[in-house]
Amino acid sequence: MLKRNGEICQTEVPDYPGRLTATELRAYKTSVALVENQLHDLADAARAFSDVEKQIPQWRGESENAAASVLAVTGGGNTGNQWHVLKTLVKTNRSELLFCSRALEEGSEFAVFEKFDPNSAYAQAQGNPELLLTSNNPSLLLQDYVESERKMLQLVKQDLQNTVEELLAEKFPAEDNSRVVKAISARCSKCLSPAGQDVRPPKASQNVRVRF
Amino acid sequence: MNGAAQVGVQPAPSGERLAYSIQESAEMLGVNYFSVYRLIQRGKLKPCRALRGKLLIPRAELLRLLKTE
Repeated sequence: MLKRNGEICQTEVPDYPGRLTATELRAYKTSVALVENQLHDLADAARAFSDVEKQIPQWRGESENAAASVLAVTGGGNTGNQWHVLKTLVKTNRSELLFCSRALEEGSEFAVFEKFDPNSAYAQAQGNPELLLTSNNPSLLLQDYVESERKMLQLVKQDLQNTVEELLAEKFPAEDNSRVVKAISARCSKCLSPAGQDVRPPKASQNVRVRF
Repeated sequence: MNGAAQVGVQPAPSGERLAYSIQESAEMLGVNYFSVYRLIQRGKLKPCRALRGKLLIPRAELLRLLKTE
């Protein structure tokens, strides 16, 4: 029976190979309650980008709709021919990521735009939508897009872990919260893994270091 | 009108916070918080870090983005 600080390490939590004490479990539950929405958002976003990635080989820059809608551009970004929306890549409550194309003399140009709520302060100040990536090769463009979104999600994950660490230090200043942070980190990693893929490391004894 | 517009037009009163969390910044800008991380990743928004590494957005950065400075 393993004990830590006089408490039995007896409780398993999702996606973490170790067991937590009652004190650690209390901190874990507090943390999860505070970041639960972000964990769901991470998982949803990872799933959406994974879906985009799977469809890349099928896309050659043709619109899913016969009449692709024209992308209205405000601000300083409206130069050259009109952009047409080929597909909505991701939609959130306040923005859409759009895969677009336009005709040029030497062929087609493709782009990913982020379209914001037109009433948002950001859109009003910076123009709307915002151009994120362009290329004349739609597959490469979408691969770059997926790659950049994955990096963004890693940034979200890292920040979520740091936020949890800060919360725990405030709420449980006298406790060693390192295992709780690792457990939350493992949960974040699971959220970012492709759907159905289990990233749980093999069961390890307390003397074996497990890297996430 | 959301908080972003208020941030944009009001001078910072004394005692005003110097930096905001990602969620707060997203509210002020009127965007999803993932968009704030995208802006950081693309270098359009320069964050600072709290003691434990948590990202914060300086008030001056938000004002710059909203073109009020």
